[in-house]
Formats: sequence, C-alpha cells, structure tokens
Amino acid sequence: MLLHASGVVRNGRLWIFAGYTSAGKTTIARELNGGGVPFAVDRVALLREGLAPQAHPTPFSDPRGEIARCVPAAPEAVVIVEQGDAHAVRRLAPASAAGQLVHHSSWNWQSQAVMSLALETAGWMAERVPVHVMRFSKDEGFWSLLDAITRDSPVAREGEVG
Amino acid sequence: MIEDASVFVPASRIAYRRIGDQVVLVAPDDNVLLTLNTTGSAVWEGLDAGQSVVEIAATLEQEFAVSADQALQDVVAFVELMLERALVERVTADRET
Repeated sequence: MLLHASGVVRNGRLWIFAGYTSAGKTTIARELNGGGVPFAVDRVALLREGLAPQAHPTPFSDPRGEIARCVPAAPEAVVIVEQGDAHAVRRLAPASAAGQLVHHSSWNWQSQAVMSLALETAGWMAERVPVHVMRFSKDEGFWSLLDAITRDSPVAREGEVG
Repeated sequence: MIEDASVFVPASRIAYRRIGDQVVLVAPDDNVLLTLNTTGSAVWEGLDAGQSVVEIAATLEQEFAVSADQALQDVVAFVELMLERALVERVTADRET
C-alpha cells in the first residue's frame, strides 16, 4: 500500500503522517521544531511483512536525498493530519481506520477487484497499526500531543452510516 | 415499495469487507467509501446472505434487543438509503418466507 504520507522517527518510534495535499505532512517531517529524523516526505510504502506491517521510505519529493539512509521499520502509528487552530487527536476504530488508509493511498478506484484488494489490505493494516486523526497547529505542542499517544489510546466512533 | 419479503443484495459493482465489527463499502464508480455502524453492518451481512427484509429484522430484534416494529423500520430505512445510493439491488418482491 503506497500511502500519501510523510514519516518521522522520534525517540526511537516511527510515526507515519498521512493526509491530503497541504495538510502539513512535509511541514511535520522537515520544519516543525522539536521533532525527529525525517523518514519520508511524500510517500510511504506500507507492506505486509510477517506479522506486522513494515514502513519503507520512498524517494518521492526528496531532492536532497535525506531519506536514502532510512531503513524500513514497523510504525508506531499512522496519524491522519489536518491543520487547525488547536490540537486534538482521536483514535479510529479498525473499520474507520481502514477507510482512511484506503483514502490516503493509491488504488485504481474504477476497479471493483482492486478495491476489494484495497479493503483487504487496509483491514489487515488497521488491525495491526493504530490509526489516529490529529488536528494540529504549527507549534511545539504538536510533539507533546504525539508523545501522549499510546497503544492503549481509546477508540472514537463517528462518521459511520447505519 | 419495500415489502417484508423483499430481498435485496449488494450491488455487483460494490467492494465490501467486514473489518473488526463493522463493514466498509466502496462504490468504485462513484469514488464513495462508507463505514457502516454495527447495526448497519448486521443489516448488510443479512442482505449479503440473501435474507429478506423481515428475516433481517428478526435478527436485529434478537441481537440488539429492539422491538419487532423498530427493527423492521430500521431495516427498511437502511435499505432505502442503500437503494438511493445504488449500493444494493432488488432480487424479488414476493419471495415466500
């Protein structure tokens, strides 16, 4: 799965930041003070390898070659980022998480067979890697909020149909 | 008109999958992705199994501890919503139960 995402290694933990264009992915990876080591700036390949997903950096949007030395690693979480006036974060249930992973990765949406594979892949990922939605402003508070995320963060349910 | 014995199935163009305790749908033609709540997921799986509206309502009544009338209303409302979006297709209107 090729995610439209950046990545940062912070305190030994790899965080993947997915989002729409101009959501702040590159800002987080390169410019936001007090962060970590950039892992990727525009695309991350999230692959099934053994029991856990592995994130691989890609050379997209990396003209300075800064990420060439990064080694694949298991991500701590995928964070869907949105810029806002205040910081807020919520963890998604696996189904919503899978939906977000599909939204922010590259698939042929015109093919039912491909989208079935997309759901299978995203479901597998979402059951193994926490996915959060984070609204953030460009200040150091971002990293404090990120550090407060744990594997035990409660799941929020919203935006569902039924 | 949705009768109690009406049967609807997922549209052939739809990709869907249960993830955790919910069903996620993708309509490739429309670039639409929906995450159903647990009730909607139960209804969808009933449709996928070929059950009639009234059969699905009976399952909801048992699993979610709602009245028979409420369960039937919920199933009909859900199916109407899915029909509006062309996410399900009618199989028959007079199947015997």
